[in-house]
Formats: sequence, structure tokens, C-alpha cells
Amino acid sequence: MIDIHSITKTFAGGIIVLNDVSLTIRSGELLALLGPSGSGKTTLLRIIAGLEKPDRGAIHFDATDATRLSARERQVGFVFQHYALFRHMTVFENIAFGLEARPRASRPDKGEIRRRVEQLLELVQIGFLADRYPSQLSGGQRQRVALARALAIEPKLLLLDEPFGALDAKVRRDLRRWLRHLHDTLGITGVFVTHDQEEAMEVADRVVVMNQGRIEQADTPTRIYDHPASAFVYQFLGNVNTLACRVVHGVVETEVGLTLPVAEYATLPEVPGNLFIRPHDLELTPVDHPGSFPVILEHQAVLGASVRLDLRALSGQRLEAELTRARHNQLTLQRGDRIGVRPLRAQLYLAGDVPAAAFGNHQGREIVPLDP
Amino acid sequence: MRTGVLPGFGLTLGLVMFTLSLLVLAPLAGIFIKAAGLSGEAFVAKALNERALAAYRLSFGAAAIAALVDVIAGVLVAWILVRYRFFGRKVIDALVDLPFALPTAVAGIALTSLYAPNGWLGSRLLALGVKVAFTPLGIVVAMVFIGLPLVVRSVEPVLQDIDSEVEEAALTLGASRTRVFRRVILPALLPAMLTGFALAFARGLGEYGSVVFIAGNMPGISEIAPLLIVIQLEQHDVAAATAIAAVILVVSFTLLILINTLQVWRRRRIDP
Amino acid sequence: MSPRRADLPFLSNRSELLSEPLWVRLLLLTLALTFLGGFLFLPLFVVFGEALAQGFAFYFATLRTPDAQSAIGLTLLVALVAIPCNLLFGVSAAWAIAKFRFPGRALLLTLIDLPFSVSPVVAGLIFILMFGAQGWATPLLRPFDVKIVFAVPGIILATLFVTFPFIARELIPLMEEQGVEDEESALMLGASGWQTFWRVTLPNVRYGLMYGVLLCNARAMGEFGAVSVISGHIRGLTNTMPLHVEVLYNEYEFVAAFAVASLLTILALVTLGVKNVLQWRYRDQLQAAEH
Repeated sequence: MIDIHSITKTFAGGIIVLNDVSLTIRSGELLALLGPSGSGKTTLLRIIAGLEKPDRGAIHFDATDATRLSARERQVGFVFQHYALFRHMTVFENIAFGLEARPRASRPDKGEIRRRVEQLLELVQIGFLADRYPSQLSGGQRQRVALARALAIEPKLLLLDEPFGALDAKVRRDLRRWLRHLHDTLGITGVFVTHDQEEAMEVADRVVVMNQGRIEQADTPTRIYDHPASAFVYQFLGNVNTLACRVVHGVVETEVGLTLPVAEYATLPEVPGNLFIRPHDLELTPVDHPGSFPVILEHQAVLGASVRLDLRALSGQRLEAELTRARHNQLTLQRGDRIGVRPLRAQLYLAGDVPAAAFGNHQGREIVPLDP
Repeated sequence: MRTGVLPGFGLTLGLVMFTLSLLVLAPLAGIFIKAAGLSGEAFVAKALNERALAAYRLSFGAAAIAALVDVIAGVLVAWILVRYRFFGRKVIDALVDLPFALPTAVAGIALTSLYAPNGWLGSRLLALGVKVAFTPLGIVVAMVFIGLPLVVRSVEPVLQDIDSEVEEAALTLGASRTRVFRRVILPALLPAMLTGFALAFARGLGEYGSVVFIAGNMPGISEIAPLLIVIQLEQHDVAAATAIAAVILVVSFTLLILINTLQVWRRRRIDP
Repeated sequence: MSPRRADLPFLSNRSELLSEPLWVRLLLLTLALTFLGGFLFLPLFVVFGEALAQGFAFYFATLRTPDAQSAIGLTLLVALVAIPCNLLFGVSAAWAIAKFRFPGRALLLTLIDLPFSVSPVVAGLIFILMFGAQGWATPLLRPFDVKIVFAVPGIILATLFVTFPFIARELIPLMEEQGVEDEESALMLGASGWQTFWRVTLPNVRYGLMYGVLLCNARAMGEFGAVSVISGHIRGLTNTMPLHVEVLYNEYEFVAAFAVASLLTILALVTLGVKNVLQWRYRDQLQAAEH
């Protein structure tokens, strides 16, 4: 178990990269640090690795305080974004490096090193590349070498900085699955950094969403998607329609003509906020269907298995809806049609200057309208 | 760049500062301390007397003319090296750096033998009424020699980087070849040409070995400033040598700052 | 896409549209080659022509004179001392400057380049001022009984000064471009600082390093002005090869002067040759080192 306690890091120029970040990484889990660039996720990874020193806070690896341990002493495997393979060494020599760099007392003999490297080459399925140089490898192959090299020192913890960032889309998808599989085989604790929410959701056991040096939420992919802790998380996880709204005595009023009851806020006077609706949570209905609001269909685009509709509300606001091909085929929609839409689910966040106490830390509230 | 965990910063920086101070900064400071120890009158008498002034005039003038020749010839040479393909191009490209690699004394005696009145080129030029060796013209020739690679190597990469699409665009807009050269290529080369000029000028100003043989070294006529330092030293007038050296150093450092500024300006122009 | 070689017009490496008319190309080429001929190639021929003017036997005989031999020996000695010193300094400077960010870094870079803009004669003079008869540092050396001015240590000092920036300025841009990921990676794999340096950093810059040593060596062996001022021209004792060339030339022993000069010229040509081979073969590893 790795315990990160109240880490703060400031870069030259006073930029706060990490602001009082605490996190527990459980043994054996694969954790994703997800966030936009500048959110501090890479810095957090580098601090765990010992490549960066925190200004404040502590890190414990199980019972030992690792805060003051150097990168060397931490025995952590690190895979760099651009792999940082040693270009003058063959694949074999790269993987053997960590073993050969050990002090004589703990260094395995030549035969043992060879055996271990061959094992690792087998594990990452690139045995046939042992004598090549990094410049002769494809991006995906380099990634595998980097991984094997990091695993060679038998780390308790494996850290990966944007592991798929430098690869093209196809290789990326294959490697993702492969990494997940590899993790399940080895049972090693892993942390990887990514800015791609799909990647995080697909591969990780738990996702840590970061923004502006803070952790917004840390939870399983399903829970994060279904119960986003903040407006930022909600928006970062996928496409979203944002409707400006006011909550007046327990009723959400929007400019597009949608009103939704929220009983818990009945005692509040008028408060501004935002209502978020995912495109696939907008259901098409006949115009004037109860609970719906009218829109005009401006454009429809077929995207493989789904169809995206560009809609315009009467207030002029643009919205996006997504439905399956099957559903789309049932409706004969034409550009310019006047139709109704209603949210199957929506998430309400009140504006930031409202006292937090009243609303549970700016946390949003999910609204699932009853079927009329 | 982050610099968190790499070791050895203190050790290496310490070593650099120590060596730099001991080998470069302290000795150079010695010149200015010694020069400052002279009274104003003594300084003028030693560093700004008629002979010294003539030497500066000659050094500056010859270095400026040579740098100008270098800029013109350097652009020409860079042009043929970058844009033309001909037999022996790579050899010529390599030999452009000869003045960097050839010891200045060797260059000096070779140029002198070549341009002397009885030399292979000198005799032919003499027939045309041009005397090169042992005149200020000889000094210019030597300075052109040592300054040439500085200009070529400044201009060459810029010329290489000019995108042929830009030229094509200018041509499709109806510009003639000469107009493309004047309005597209030349402005792009200008900062590199200026840098090359400044580098060649600075080099010519301080040059000693390749100039001293061909110069003739007549006081007031063909005696360059660095030679005057040597002569003063030989006459055991260290104060005079120091005073002249201080003048040359001030000019050199001013040029260094100018060259650095030019390069910053260039970089800003290339990638804003 | 660039057109195939065969499609290109005569002499040019670009399309007809982007080339000057043929007569202009020929004119420019003739002008450039004539200029280079007069300034670069003819001096080169002169050196070997004059050196061999009285035949090979005489040529080798002049190189075997004791004075010539001692000049060659001293030159080798100077280079043998200057190169390791500059290696140590250059690699240290590159490590500190390229791998770390600190205030005053830009100034330090400029200061390292300073010797390039100092006239060789002044470079010699500063050490006379320091260690000469009335030199300000001379009293410090009195207990050690070492002579610097008009002696070998002075020659070495002056050479160190003029060659000071060579290796550092080749390595700094190269190491800066390579960043710190490789080193961090080695540390993460458990390598010590020294292991990281010897096994990762140094191999990564080895061609840049060779390049720097090559240029440093050429300058160390060929330096004239600075060494001339401080050496005192004592034949057989403080004469390096370039100084010996001067002495012989001033004594009208032209053939002998050019014979020694021809050795230095061969050194220069070999330097250029190796330099270009390095540039062509390892262009990618050296790219950052080119200005």
C-alpha cells in the first residue's frame, strides 16, 4: 500500500502544481491519474517515483517513510512517456541495465541476468527483438521494451507516464488491453497517467481525476461516471450539454423551457446553477410530450453504430443528442423537424458562490425524472 | 526542464567556476586592473599615441574591409554549396573550414609566399600593378582568409532552411527571379550576414599569426594593433602593451555583446 | 515532393523554375571557385610545393633536426596536457549547464565563450601580467620554484586559455537537446550517479565529444599568437611547431619552415577529414552541436 499524505509542490514562478494532495494506492490495483495538461498528474507520478521532491507532505510505502528516499532507493519501475530507451544499447542490454547496475553483492551472475532478461522478453512478447537497437523498433515495440526494462528490477510499484500517448490509435487500443492483461498476470501495483478518459475508464481499477493541482474524485470507473463528484469531473468524462439554470423553491428552471423538480432544495430562495445532460441521456419524444422541451433538428450525422443529432432549442441554445442506429431507423427524422426531447438523467450543480454547507461541498445532485 | 534528482550539480558547477575564474576571469581582469593603475595621461601616451592610433585605424579598417569581402564571398560560396550540385562539392564544403583548422602561422607564411612579389600569384598581380604582400592590402587578404568560414557557416544553414515553397509562392505571385532574391531571400539572409560580418570583423581585429607575416609591419603604415602589443612587450614596456590590450579587449567585448544580441534577434525572427 | 535527381537541371539541385538561368549558375560557380582557389586552395598547394622544393630527402632531413624534433615533442606534450584538462572542464560544464537550470546560467555560457573573442596576443599577455617579473601572482609561486613565463607551463596555460570553450560548446547544445529522461531512467533502474554518467550520458554524446576533442586538438597544436607571446622563443626548449615555423621563416630557411608547416597542414586536413566523416555519419547525434 502506498500512502500519499498532503503533498504540496510549487514550481519556480510560484505556480502551485500540487495543492495538498492525499491519496492511498492499494496493493495490486491499477490506478489511473486522469486530468487535463497542467492538472499536476505527471508531477504527482514523478513525486511518487522520487524524481521530484515535494515541498510538503509525506509518502509511505507500506510502513516505511519513503519521502526522503532517492529515486534509486525506492525500487520503483518507471516507464517514461517517450520511453527513454538507451539508444546505444540493444533491447537486451536495455532490459539488463537495472540488474547490471546493482552493487556487486546483490548483482545476479551473468547467466542469471540472461535468464531473467529472456523471461521478460517472453513476457512482453518481443523475444525476437533482443539484438535490435531502439531506433530499429516501432513505437509499440519500444513501449514493450520500456516496460520490460522497468519490470527487470522487480519493482513493488510500476509507474507509467502517458503510456500510450505517443502511439497511433490502433496500436494504442491493442496495447491498452495487453497492459490490463499483463497487470492481471503479474498482480503488481500500477499507476499510470493519462489525459484520455476512455483510456482511464477502460484500463484502470480506480480512476483519480485531477484538476488544477487537486484531486477532484478517486473512485472506480463506473462510480465516477455515474456519480461524478464535481462539475469538472462530469464535463471531463465525456460530451455534455450544459444548460444554465436557476433553482427556485425546489424547481429547476432553464431557458430552453425545461423544468425539473428537486424536492430537497424546496427551502432555498432563488439560486443560479448549471444543469448537465449527456447526449445519450436525451430521449426524443413527440413535441409537447410531458416533461420534454421543443427543439429543431439542424443536422444529423451517422457515426457507425450511433447517430449524433445537432439540435437548437427555441432560446437559440444548441444541444447534442446521441441515439442508436436502431432507434434512429424507427424515426424518420428530417432536417428542420420540430421535435421534443427530455432528459433521462441530468446532473445539477449550483453556482460556486453559494455557501457550500447548504449543498454538500458544491457536489452535484443527480436528477432522474419520473417516467410520465 | 526539471532538475530534481540528478546528482553532481555542485561538483561540476564548482569545478567550472573554479577553472573559469582561475584560468579566464582572473587573468583577464589583470589587464583592466593594470590599465586602471595607469594615470590618465600615461594611458593616453601609451595607448593613444600616434603609432597606436595608426595601428587601430589599420586594424579596424582592414578588418572591416575584409569582413565586407567575406560577407559577399561568403554568401556566394554558401549559395553554390547549398543550391548547386557539382563535382567536388563535398570536398570544397569541407575545405571551407580550413582557416579554422590550419594553424595561423602556417596560413601566414603560405599566403605570404603566394602573394609575395616573387610568389605565384603575387608576381602576376604585380604585373597588373597590384602589390599585395607587405602592404595593407596583404593584411586584408589574410583577414579575408581567416574570416571566410565564419560567414559561410552563418549563412549556410539559413539558406538551407529557406523553404522552396516560399520562393515558389513569390514566383506564382508574378515576381521575377531577381525580385525573389532581393525581396524574399536577401531579407531572410540579412541577420545571418550581419552576424557573419561581426564575427569576421572581431576575428580580423584580434588576428595575429596569419597577418604578421604578410603585413610588412612598417610602423604607422602596416603595423596592426596586436603586433604593436608584441613589439611593446619585446621592448619590455608592459604598461604600453597592457594599455593597448585593454583598448582591444573593450572593442572585442562590445562586439561579443553585439553578436549575442544579433543572435537573439535572429532567433526571435525565425521562431517568434 | 522533390523531383528525382535526373530531372534536375544541370548543376542545380532544385527545379528549373527555382534555378537561375544556366549562364548565371556558371558565372556564380566560376566566381566562387576562383575566389576559393586564390584564398584556400593555392595556399594549400604552396605549403606542400615549398616544403618539397628540394626533394623528399631534404624534407625528411629538416624534420629530423633536433630543433624540429623538440618542437614536435613540445607540441605533442602541450596537446596531451590540454586535451584531458579541457575534457574534464568541458564535460563538467556541459553537465552543470545542460542538465540543470539555475540563475546566471546564460551569463556562465557567455563567460565560457569569452576566450573566443580575445585576441591570441592578449591571451598570451594576460599570463605575462600574471606570472611575469612584476606579475601579481608571481609572489604566490615563489615558494614552489616554478617558472611559467618563457617556459613550458606558460605555453600550456596560454593553450588552455585559447582552447577553453571548445569541448564545452560542442557538448552543451547536444546534452541540452537530449534532456534528462535517459539519466532519470537510469536512476530509476537503480544506477548510481557515476554509473549513469559513464553508461548512459557519455555514450549518448560520444560523437559530439570526439568532435570537440578534435577541434580542441587542432587548436592546441596550432596555436601561435598566445604561445608566441609567452614562450620567449627559446629554441629546443620553448618552441612549439608553429613557433618553430616562424623562427625558420624569419631566418629565411623557407624550405625547412614549410616542411614543419606541412606537418601542421596535414594535421589540419586530417582534422577536417575526420570532422566531416563525423558530420556525415552521425549527423543525427551531432545535429544540436551545429550552430
